[in-house]
Amino acid sequence: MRLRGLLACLLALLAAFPLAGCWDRSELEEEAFVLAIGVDKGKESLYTVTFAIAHPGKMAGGGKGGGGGGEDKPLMLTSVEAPTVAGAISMADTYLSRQVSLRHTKALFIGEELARTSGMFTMDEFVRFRQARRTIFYIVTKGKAVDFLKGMEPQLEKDPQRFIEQMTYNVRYTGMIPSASQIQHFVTQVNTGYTSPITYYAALKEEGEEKSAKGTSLSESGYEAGEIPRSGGPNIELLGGAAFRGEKMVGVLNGEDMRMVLMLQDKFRRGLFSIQDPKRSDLFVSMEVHQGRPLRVDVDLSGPQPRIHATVTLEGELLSVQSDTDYTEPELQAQLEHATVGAIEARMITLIRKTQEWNTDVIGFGQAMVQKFPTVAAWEDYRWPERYQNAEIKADVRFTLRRFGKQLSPPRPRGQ
Amino acid sequence: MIREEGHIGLLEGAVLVYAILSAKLFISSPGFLIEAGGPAAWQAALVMTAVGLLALLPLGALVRRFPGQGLFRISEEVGGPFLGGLFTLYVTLWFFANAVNGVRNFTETYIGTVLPNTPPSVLTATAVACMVYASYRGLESICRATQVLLPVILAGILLVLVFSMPRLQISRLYPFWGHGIMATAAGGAYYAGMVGEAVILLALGYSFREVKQVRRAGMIGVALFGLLTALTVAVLVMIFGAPDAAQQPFPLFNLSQLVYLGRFLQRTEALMVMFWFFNVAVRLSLLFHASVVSLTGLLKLPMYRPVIFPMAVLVIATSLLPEDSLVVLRIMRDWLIPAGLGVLFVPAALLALALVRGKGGQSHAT
Repeated sequence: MRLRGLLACLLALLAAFPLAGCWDRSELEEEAFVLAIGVDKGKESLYTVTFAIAHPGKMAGGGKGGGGGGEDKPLMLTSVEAPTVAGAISMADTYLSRQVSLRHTKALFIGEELARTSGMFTMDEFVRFRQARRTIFYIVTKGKAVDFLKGMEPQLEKDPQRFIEQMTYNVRYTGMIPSASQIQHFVTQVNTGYTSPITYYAALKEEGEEKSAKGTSLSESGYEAGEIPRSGGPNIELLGGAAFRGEKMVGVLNGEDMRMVLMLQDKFRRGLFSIQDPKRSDLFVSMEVHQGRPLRVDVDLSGPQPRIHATVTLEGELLSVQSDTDYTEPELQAQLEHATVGAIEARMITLIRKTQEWNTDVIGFGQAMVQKFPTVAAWEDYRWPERYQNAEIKADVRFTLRRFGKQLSPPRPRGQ
Repeated sequence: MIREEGHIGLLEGAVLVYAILSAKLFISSPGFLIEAGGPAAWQAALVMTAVGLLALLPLGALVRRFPGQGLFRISEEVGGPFLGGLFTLYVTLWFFANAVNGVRNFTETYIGTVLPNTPPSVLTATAVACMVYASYRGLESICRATQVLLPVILAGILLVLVFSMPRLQISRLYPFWGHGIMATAAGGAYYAGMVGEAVILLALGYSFREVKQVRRAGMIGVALFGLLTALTVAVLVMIFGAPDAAQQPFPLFNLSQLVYLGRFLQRTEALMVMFWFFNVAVRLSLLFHASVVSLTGLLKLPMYRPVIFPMAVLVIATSLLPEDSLVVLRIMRDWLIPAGLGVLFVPAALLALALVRGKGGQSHAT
């Protein structure tokens, strides 16, 4: 009996050996972990694929932070011309001392030119290849992806990958980027066709390059990536989104557009807004706006064109009033609420028209439409993507000021 | 009667049926249902379960007529040596083919996902070693081990589904009726062959302490599998959308790769793959053991253990026959699942035959 027990223990120990996966073991020192990939149109071949490879020693300490390929930087950059990403990996393996690995890849940067012309050719490699994960962020860069990777300097984070990941969390409190932009979302949206994809849009900020506001009442969010009037800080801007029709990019949405998209997708959480003061058009009122109730989308298919009516319910907290108007007075409060509704509705209609001009339902009204059809065949026969352009879409915003901050009336100079 | 030690009860039987079926969720079976039902794949899964449960209803009446007997004894008594032998041979071959296909599928799945450089022979040998050892230890040992592993097996599926919740998009379950009610019902009925393994209770029914527990064990096991399948395909459709989910050979693996709860919880597939291995090992062991025991009965041998080694060699040899991983999937979809529908109705056929010929009944009652 004792012998049998010993034999069983021995067998269990022996059985543990193959668990280590001898043939598939990988030594950290033998792998070149690609943290980000950039893909652009190639000159010699179909693509220029840029690998941003982690430099572990410099990432842990000693590096000055930032991307690019400088001596102290935590990333080593290398670009290869190849017809496929796998081909580029194979080529890179020939001149790198380590084997290129996509196991830790977090971001795929696609140059805007490529995104507008061929879109998804590379996508299958990231869906099929076992090393790649569908959680990789899909980011369209203004200009070439290789230039973006070379120039990026996150500053606050040593690890550029962490910087990008952290930037994507901004959607929770700015609402100025898409709610998600991973390969998974892109592929699923293209495949199902209920909504068109919308991805992150990033640009490098050149020092001294300043463009004026787009001239809306919600001016602080009316910029595209790379256009924020600012100085200092990291040179990367992840703002707005790249709108796709099918697999090809058709336009750029600015931060303000993205807020409207999120509200109409029922994914807007909160954001700080500056609204033109209804009593003093040269001054602003700031408030924190958050979603009040779930979005309601009513669809009417009885007419020749589909009619869609979206109702967005928001709530807000007053943060500041530049004028001396006391918006805690019920009448003035109603005026401010009305002005806010007007400003947001106007932006919403502009956004909807913009997407209709591009003929792409990035907002995702198709998700409400599809619920009206009993079968897949009936839905496909309806050809929603083709009808989106002419759909009658109306957006109603309801807004209530719920809180007024830590003070009721605005501070006034004594005697007034 | 084959000499095999030990008995099993209701719980062990239900767990056994669930475990032998649930391993399919890790491979392309959900994809088959999604292909058939589209966004309404969960309805196809429910139809599959209903048909499976209906087909198992006669099992209780059959084993009550022949208490303490397994498939080969019952078929022989009901159908005679020739027709009864054919019944046993059909079920035995189906179990065997499933074991073979399962071994190859296991190899292909692990190579395709986490162990790309491991020689297929090593993976095949590992699976077959598990099967041989488990079968040698006998049914009771397999059942006890399965019971111990059940929390892990359930966790392997449920954790992935729960962690995937932030990604659910309910609108992807529409159009509600998928490809149409008739198409969904037909697809669900066709794939009822996926629960054919529940007939293992007939093959190994002699091990039950109480005859009346056989049917209940089957019902519980199939119902649990059916509900979990409906839930799994619904989650897959809500996350990947029907067109994408239908094309995935390892949908749960892909799902576990998507688990991304901030920086804190990622890359869960490494853990899940280990959980799934236990489920696959249990499934293969049960399929192998059922085919070994049934073949032993068919050949009228007094002990099943001498049959284990030759059968294991056959499993290894035949598992190498399919040319590629797609052939393995096609064999399952186009041959094994339809044939499983036939296996599912073997208890009904035997019962009908027993009633017509007046076999079994009071004279056999315990």
